[in-house]
Amino acid sequence: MNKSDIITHIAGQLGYSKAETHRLLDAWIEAISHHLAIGDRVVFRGLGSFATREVPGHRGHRPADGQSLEVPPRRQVTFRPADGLRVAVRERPR
Amino acid sequence: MSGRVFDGQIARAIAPEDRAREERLKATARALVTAIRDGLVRDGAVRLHGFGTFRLRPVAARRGRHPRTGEPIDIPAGWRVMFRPAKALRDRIEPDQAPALLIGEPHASREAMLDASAAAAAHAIGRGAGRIPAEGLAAPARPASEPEPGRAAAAAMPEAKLSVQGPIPAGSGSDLEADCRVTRSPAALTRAPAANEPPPVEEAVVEVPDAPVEQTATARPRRHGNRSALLLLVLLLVLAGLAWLFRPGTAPAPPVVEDPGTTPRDQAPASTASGDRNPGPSVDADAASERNSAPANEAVDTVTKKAPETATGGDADRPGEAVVATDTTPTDAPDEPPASVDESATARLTVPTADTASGGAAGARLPLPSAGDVPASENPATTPGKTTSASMEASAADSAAAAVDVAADAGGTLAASGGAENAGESIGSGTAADGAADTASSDGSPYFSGREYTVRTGDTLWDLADRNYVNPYYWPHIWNHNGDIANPDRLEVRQGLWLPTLEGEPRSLTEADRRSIAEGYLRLYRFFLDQGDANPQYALVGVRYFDASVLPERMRGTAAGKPGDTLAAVFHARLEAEFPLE
Repeated sequence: MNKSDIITHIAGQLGYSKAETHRLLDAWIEAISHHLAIGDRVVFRGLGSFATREVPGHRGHRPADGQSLEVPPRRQVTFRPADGLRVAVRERPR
Repeated sequence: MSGRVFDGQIARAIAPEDRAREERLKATARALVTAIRDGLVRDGAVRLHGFGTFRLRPVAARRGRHPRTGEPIDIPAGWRVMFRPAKALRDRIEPDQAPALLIGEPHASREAMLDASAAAAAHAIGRGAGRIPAEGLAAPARPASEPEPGRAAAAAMPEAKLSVQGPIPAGSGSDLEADCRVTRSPAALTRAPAANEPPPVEEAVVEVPDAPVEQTATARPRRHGNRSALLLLVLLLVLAGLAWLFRPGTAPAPPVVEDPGTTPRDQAPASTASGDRNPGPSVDADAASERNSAPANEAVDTVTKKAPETATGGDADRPGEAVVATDTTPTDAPDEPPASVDESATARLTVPTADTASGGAAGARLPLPSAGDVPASENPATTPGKTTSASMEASAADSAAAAVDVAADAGGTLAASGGAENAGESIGSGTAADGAADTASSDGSPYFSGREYTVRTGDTLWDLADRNYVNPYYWPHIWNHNGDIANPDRLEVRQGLWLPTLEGEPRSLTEADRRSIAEGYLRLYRFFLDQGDANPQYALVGVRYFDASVLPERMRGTAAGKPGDTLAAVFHARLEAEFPLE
């Protein structure tokens, strides 16, 4: 399932046009990204919460040849699924 | 230092003082959640371009311990939801690591957004807030005297994605709507993205007022440039239209007044100056053929000269196609793959159906045009290898151009183009032509008197029939009179053909015409049979359609088709229980 599938789905469900749905969805994506960029934790009810986390720099090694190198510090997006999502997904047959 | 933002707050912040929009956003959020959940359950992965991918990872069953009692418990296998942020999001939260964006990069607005974020954050700090407020986008209680372009942009940005040209001055909210679709401005990229961590206070204070000034300054000329480019385009179009309008009036005149050698050459660039918008290829051809009568060589010269020129610019021009056709169709041209055959066949379909539509009266009187549907539907099968429709459309220009090298053949080609014109006339005039057709056939002179023809590149029997007999479905007529053609899909260049006489009008064939065409179709049937074609029966439809009497007694039937019959219906009615023809 990709973005256009989702847009089609939502548009059909809510009766909006696809273009409108696209705009709304992009607005959400932009807003969430914005808040993540400024360091907020974004709680999306029913879906989960997104947050960023600082990964400190450390010494690592290149998997290919084992050469050690410096991994710079970075920020990472983390996602913690909401309970509803976890439960819904847990029941999924393997 | 991280605030906690809820989706409801975000919805309010995106659409401040717009309840309807806020509700739409919230509804979208709910629907999005269910969509993602259902997508995960169904597909195991949901990709949101520009944001990230949710994916399910299988987790094996394991043994855990009860957190309180410590006794071991079995945890069944399940799924874990993973989220991998998209590159855009990763770059966004870590702008220092982001690669330099190219001019015109589609995510320009994200960078602008980032600037806005930084500006907003800086402003919040400047106001003395301990941390960025959760409703960072909401622009709470702003002093009216002090405009905050950065914040306004930040509030407006999320929805105007991909299109906002950097921060827009406050108060131009409606402008934003109008402009948001115009460009993706690289203007915002001229500034290095600020760090996502709130910058120090001093720096921030400096930066906030800076941003909009610089960006609008760079953004303005670009918008201006767009507009002027549009103007220029419109101007060009108008000029082209004018040039075309004045062409027919002026074109034939100059050769009489001045030296004919120079004027066409002057016109050539004028007509081709508009490039692919040159609307008058057929006009060119007509003018050329008009001039053909007096200074034949010059006219032909211009045609050939013009053709390559337009070919470079034109994508749908007839001259361009003509050149392409002659250039790229060597002797194996009739071997076009079936796909192109179908293509041109569909192009062809319009002709006979249009005929029947306009010639309803004729349909009642004669079986011939009324059953035009039948060969139309059988067309893909019975059509011998046709080249692309391009070559057929270009036939007029083609024959005109060919007048150069074959001086001896000049009369013939002119006649051919005349035939093409006739074809156009009779197709265009429809029923009106029918009366004339009757009189013409009644006075005894054949519609087309037979003559020799030399095959050129791109020729097919189908095309020749189309050109000379108006109806391409008459092509077996030619084949029937050229016994040396073993395979109608294969003609040799410079091969001599006899284009047989068509006694009646294309719309009212005589018995002999019909018989000959039917024999051609019968030959086609045998040809297919010899080739081991699984279902050569469809060739019999042509036979039946034109003259079933050429068939053996047992295979004759009533007319193969009636108006409105489909090929399948004909098959089912007539050929279902039938047998190969021996």
